[in-house]
Amino acid sequence: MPDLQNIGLQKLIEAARSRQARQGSRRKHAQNTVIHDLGCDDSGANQYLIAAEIEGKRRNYRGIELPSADPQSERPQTTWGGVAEEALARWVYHTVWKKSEFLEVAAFEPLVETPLDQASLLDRLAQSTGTEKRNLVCDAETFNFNQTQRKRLSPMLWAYILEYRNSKNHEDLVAVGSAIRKYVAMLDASQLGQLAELLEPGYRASLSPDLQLEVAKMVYRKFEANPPVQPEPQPKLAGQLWDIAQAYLNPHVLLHDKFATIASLCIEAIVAMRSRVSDDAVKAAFNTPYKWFGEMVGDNLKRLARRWQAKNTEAAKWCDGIVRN
Amino acid sequence: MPAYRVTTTTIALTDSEVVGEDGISPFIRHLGLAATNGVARREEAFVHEMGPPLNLPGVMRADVHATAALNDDERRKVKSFVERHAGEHKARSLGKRHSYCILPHSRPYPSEDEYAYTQFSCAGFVIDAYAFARIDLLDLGSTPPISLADVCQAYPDQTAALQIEKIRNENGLVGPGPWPIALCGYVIHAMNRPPADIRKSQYKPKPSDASFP
Repeated sequence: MPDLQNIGLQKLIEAARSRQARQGSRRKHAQNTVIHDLGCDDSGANQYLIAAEIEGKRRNYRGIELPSADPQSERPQTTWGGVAEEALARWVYHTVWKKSEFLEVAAFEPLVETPLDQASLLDRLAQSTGTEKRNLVCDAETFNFNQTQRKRLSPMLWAYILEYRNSKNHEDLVAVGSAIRKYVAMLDASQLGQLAELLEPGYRASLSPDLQLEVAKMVYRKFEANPPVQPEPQPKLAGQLWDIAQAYLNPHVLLHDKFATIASLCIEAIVAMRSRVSDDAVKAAFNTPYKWFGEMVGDNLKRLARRWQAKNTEAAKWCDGIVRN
Repeated sequence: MPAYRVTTTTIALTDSEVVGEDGISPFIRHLGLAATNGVARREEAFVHEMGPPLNLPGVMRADVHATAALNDDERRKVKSFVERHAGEHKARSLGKRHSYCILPHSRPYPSEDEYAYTQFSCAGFVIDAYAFARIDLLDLGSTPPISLADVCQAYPDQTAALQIEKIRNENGLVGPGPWPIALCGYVIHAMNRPPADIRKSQYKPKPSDASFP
């Protein structure tokens, strides 16, 4: 960990000089420049923030209020890096530049960012657009929300999914995948039929394979945790998953891209729903020319039967029978 | 030898083999799955690794190389495992909040009932990927308990953070410890056996297995 208090003033002035030379560059780049000129990597800066927190200095270090760190983070590659960079940059700005001949480098404005919590995330999500909205949708997946907050979040996630599901931007699709996971995780199993709308082909295009994967996976996870009391709770959804599975089970395409993973997840989701097509789906998995594919589906369904054992012995027995037959 | 210390400047890797990176040598602090076939510079091996976030691929130093001589079927299963989790962790790269757990080695987040994504430790990602291919590397019920000082050795970038109880708790380290954590070195030792033995029996790690001399 770099001991920032022992970094010589001369070095800081050199950093400021370097910053001045790059005065025209963007602020973020300038922050990085300062960090690197100080010889501190993000990780060191991160450690510094935490050490400061332990020593009770975090809130007021040399008269400067430092930003909060996100304790969820492990490595400072994104936010923590940003927060730590900000802390260091502000420290350099206030302790050196203001007292040096470089006072005129005032373009370096201190940043103010409120630490993210559930309430502020929802407020910002409601008002944001573009990249900020995309990133907040991803962050929403990492929080637990209370019932009131869920009522607010769910429609926002669903609207985001519908708006961006056909985006050509890869990062938008990553965020839609995140929104699908969070939306389904919070949804009651009885409402999963709503997902059929997403899988319906012909809206503008069929759902991207990455998103088909997320939908199938979340249907499986939801019913893995809540074994259906009665078979076939969502026939339309099961039918659509079966259509997708059959398309990818073609031996000429199964090994391409992520198709084997999507097909296996669709079959596992169909069985997790105790659909009437479960038998056909499992047989189709075992009948591909690829032994590993049948083994993989079989292993996952055996795991499902074991998980159901404590929750619904009848469903567990049925699932076990499907695999054995 | 199924596992060995890399002493050359280049390394020949096959997809899904295991790469280990030293902390204070010979302590193994990080693991990844080789992401490509071919020769790589030891300093820049392309791997799938649980940073966090999960980097697909990321780059790490290959101080140790371990192989279970995966066949094509096993490699396909590992690939499918990675694909099942890739989107979850790409989202962490876009957002501002990372996700990681030390103990257990993997867990559904935020809970089994509302399972949105999976948290892994770096060793946990490798352990679960191989388990998905029917290769249970470790007897996870017999991992030796390790102290906070040893945990800090495994996470040298986080030594200060790990002094904070709240952060320890969020990573699954509840109470004063010691904790039965699946360390990276255990995985390397589990793989330092004949391929048939790796598949036949789970390895019971010893405390000294945190390092790989």
